[in-house]
Amino acid sequence: MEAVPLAGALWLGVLTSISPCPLASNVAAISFVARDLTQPRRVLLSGLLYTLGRTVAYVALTGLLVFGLLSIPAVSNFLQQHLNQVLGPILIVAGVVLLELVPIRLPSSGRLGEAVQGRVERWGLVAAGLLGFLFALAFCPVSAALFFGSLIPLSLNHTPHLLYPVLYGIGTAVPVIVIAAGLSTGASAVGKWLQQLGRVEAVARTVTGLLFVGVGLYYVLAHTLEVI
Amino acid sequence: MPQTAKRSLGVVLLLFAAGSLVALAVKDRGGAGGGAARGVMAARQSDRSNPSDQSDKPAPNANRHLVVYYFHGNFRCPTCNTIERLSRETIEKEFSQDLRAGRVMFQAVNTDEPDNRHFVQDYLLFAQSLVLVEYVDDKQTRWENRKRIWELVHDEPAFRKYVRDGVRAFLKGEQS
Repeated sequence: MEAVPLAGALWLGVLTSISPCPLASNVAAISFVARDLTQPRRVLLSGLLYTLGRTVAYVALTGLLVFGLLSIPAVSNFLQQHLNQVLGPILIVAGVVLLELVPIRLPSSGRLGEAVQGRVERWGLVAAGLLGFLFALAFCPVSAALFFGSLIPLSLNHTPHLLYPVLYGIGTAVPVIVIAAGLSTGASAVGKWLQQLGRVEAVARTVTGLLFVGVGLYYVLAHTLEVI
Repeated sequence: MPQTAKRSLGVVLLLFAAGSLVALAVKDRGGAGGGAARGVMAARQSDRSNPSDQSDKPAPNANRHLVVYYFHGNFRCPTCNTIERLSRETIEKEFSQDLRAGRVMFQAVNTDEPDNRHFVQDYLLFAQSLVLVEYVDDKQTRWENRKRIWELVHDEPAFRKYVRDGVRAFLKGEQS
């Protein structure tokens, strides 16, 4: 195991996430991971699950490609075209749910209410992982070039093959986690003030929901309808 | 915001999301049946040899020319546009005489158009790519994907040198 290719895989991941083309999905990811502004531990946990989701996607894909079960051009083109096309509508629906525009009635009191509340919080963390998985597979031209053109050859030529996509996945999530953690820390003072007003959760949720709808609309116009 | 307005906005957004998926399905169905018209490039490609059948050296004094293809899809990202611009500029600046003489050509090709989809398999494209293809007597003899363009795109002099050196080597009959 050599250090240079391992560092190279991590750097490729960072390079992927700081390139302009996944910017829209990164903005949505940051807002989702950092939505519990006043709870840094929860932001960190959400960030770790987002990273895990991305890493699982890349490891699975690398495994299928390295062991010859799929062809690189077919997978790359399929994911670039089709996943980006359905990502927009999915983000819009998620934004509508986050903004509570369409009522979803849940029991709010008693033992059942607490159980449902706990489940919603757990689902919030699961959603961070799912978001990471989905965003990882929604390749744009830059991320496709770096993953299929640079990371996969690196994985093919070095063992253990699947360690490289793990590092790549971590690399792609690092900027999102760092910014989310920074926002969480920096906003804690404001958060506490807002919390006193009992509004912090509502504000963070509204911002996240609006960003999801905005990013979703962008994906629909750019990828699904291809009008911009 | 009043509750009814919120609900109406939510319904409109959900309908928009659903409608975009319906439009996508309709467009995909239309695209699958299309493709009657064939472009110049498709016609050129239809009579070329299999890209995997590559000979090492061109025949001496043959009617030989090089096509520099920039392959892209419908979605154009800022980095993709930069790659196309830098590649085109490099070819126009460094190979102006070869361009005028028809020894070198630059072509941007949209692989999302039905007639051009075969290029993806022909040149094993996994992203927007710069591919050098040599033709001798209108038959393809060699090709090379300049894969490092994505690493070098943020270093303009290195990018231009990489493209220039690749084309020069190809014109000399070398594989870089």
